[in-house]
Amino acid sequence: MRRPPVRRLIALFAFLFFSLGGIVVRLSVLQVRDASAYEHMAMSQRLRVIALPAQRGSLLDDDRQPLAMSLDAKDVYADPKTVGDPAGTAAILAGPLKTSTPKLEALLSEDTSFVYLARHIDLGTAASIEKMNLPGIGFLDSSRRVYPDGSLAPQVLGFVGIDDNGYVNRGLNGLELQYQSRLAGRPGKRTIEIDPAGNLIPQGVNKDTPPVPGQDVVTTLDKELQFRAQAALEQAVRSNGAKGGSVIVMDPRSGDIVAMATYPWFNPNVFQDYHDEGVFQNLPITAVYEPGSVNKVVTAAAAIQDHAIPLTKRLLVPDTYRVSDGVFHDAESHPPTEMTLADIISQSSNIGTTMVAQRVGAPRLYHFLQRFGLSTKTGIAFPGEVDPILPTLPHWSGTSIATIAFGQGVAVTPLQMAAVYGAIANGGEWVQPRLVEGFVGPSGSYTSAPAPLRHRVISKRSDKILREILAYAVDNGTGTAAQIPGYWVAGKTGTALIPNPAGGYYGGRYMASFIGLVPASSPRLVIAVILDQPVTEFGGIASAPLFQSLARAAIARLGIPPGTRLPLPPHAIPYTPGH
Amino acid sequence: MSAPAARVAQRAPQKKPTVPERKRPAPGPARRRSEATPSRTRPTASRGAKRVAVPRSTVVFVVITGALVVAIMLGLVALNALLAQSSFRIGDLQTRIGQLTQSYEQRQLQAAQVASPGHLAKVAAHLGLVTPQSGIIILTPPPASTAHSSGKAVGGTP
Repeated sequence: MRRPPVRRLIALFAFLFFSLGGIVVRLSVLQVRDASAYEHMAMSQRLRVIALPAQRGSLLDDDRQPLAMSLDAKDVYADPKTVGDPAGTAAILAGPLKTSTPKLEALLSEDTSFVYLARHIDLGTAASIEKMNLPGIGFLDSSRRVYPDGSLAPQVLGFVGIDDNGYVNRGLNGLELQYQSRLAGRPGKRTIEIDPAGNLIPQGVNKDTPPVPGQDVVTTLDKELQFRAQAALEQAVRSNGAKGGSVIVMDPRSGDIVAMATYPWFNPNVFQDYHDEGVFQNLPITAVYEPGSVNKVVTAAAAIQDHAIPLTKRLLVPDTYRVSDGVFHDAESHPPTEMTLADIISQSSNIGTTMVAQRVGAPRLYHFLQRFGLSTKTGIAFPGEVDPILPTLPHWSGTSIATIAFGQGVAVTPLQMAAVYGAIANGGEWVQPRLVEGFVGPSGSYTSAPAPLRHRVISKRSDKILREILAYAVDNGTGTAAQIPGYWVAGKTGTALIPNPAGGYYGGRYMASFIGLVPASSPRLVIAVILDQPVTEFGGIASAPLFQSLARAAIARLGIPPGTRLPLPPHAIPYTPGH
Repeated sequence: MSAPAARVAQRAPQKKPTVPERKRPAPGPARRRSEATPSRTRPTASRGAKRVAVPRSTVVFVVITGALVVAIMLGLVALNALLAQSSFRIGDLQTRIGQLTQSYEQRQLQAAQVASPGHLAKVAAHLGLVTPQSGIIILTPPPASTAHSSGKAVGGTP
């Protein structure tokens, strides 16, 4: 028997050895060295990560009723390259998407593979479109912000939309913007394994990282009172032919803003339909005005606290008065009249107030302006609060002691002025206003907002005298239109000229205001109303009735007793009982 | 004799036992084990007459094993089907949860809209009610037992 050649066997063996070795090496490369990379590639083909948007927290009123809430919604998109008939598809979708056919057709004809046709549409509409099985039309999960009360406190609440960086559901204004980080929550994700056809592999990866819902923000607003405030404001603006107006209702003890409104307003559900961005501004916080006579309480407070003038002292007040290089007048001409401090405030005499301020002195008047919070922002947590314009003492001119004393030459926000009256209502202690009282976490836990800042401005005794004077102003002064039969109210009118940016003041244009306390003896509310350029001009005529209307609503709503009547302050002008 | 021929000769007796099989005893696990063991471990030619017969339980073993394998496979398939079914069920329930959540949100919205002051005012106006524009505050005299408590506003007259 012939044996096979050894060399051939060796060659065969070597061939097989190296072939197998090659296979082993290659297998090692695939299974060991590159295993994780290939595994990763395979997984990335099968895995799909779906973002799970976090439920945005709600804005609630003080009774935990929703002022703003988020609902699930859909975004509708199209792949124009797979839309066979842009014109036909546009005609079908225009109705459900509430847009025009030409606009949709233009979108569907774009040279791109993705275009949004509509954002945040409700689920019912999305379902009806989905049933049509239109080629190239798809849907993405989304959510929409809803304000169930429509135009209720829109400038305070703000609205939600797409920001400059393209992020959706971002607070763009108001409390929605201020508390964006708390409201937004943290998005989650769902990781699933799908087959090439896009179907879920039942036993494949299905892992959820649940989103963390945002916190609910509990505001201090009283929905009912807010509605009444807006209704009264709208009626007052119309009946007085004013350009607009603002209202603040505040609890002086806590600084809680119970209602805050600016007219004209808007509906945040369709904010994009408003082209005048001025309507979005919450003017009581984001704009300053020259307060006029309502600022006289600061002069009076300084005089009482510093004993600059005895309460029984009668000053002979003319209707024209020179201070430095300026000549000032009272609103109405009158012969020189003997007036006490109470008469000066109740009759809102510019000249009398100037004479009192001169007795107080500029440094002390400036000190009290600062203490009443008119030199800095209130610090309320709200975007866009503006700084007041109060000249520092070295920048006061010779006439500043007069103009600032009666509220011109100084510009503050309506909220700052309301806080001044809040301090008077609160026994002389200034309390920082606030719009939010706390937060409710996803688990239902409640966290209080930081306590408002407080500081004493004047003594309780001085404060009581000041409230007597303000009650007298309503009882027997310029604020009689604010009287509520059977109830004791304190307050002050203001009629301020509007400064002209070119210099000086506009003739015949006024900001008419009234800020009052109810009840006078133990105030539970401060109500500030301002009308912009009413044809009725004066605060006592235009704004005081609005205050009265609003105070009535608040008294009934909150069940506030009238308290007791405050004693009349020393006065020289004969007293005519108001009621 | 060459080496390969010798190996063939040595192996020859193992191929077919020549000794007739003894009468099969009554079946029993102990007996089967005692009989089967020698046949597997000592199949040598020199003890040809005493050699034990081939295992009689092969068929039983194959049947039992086969049944076991089939049962395990069926079990696995059933388990697999159950797991798949559970996955679908979970999917359905998740969809249902989503639907119910949406429904709840819609109800919440409807409740908020219906309870909004603006809506209530409209309904009230539709029913002929009006907001009082003027009036006075009337205080009820406090009862003797509560003479020290403060009065409370009770509203006005239209």
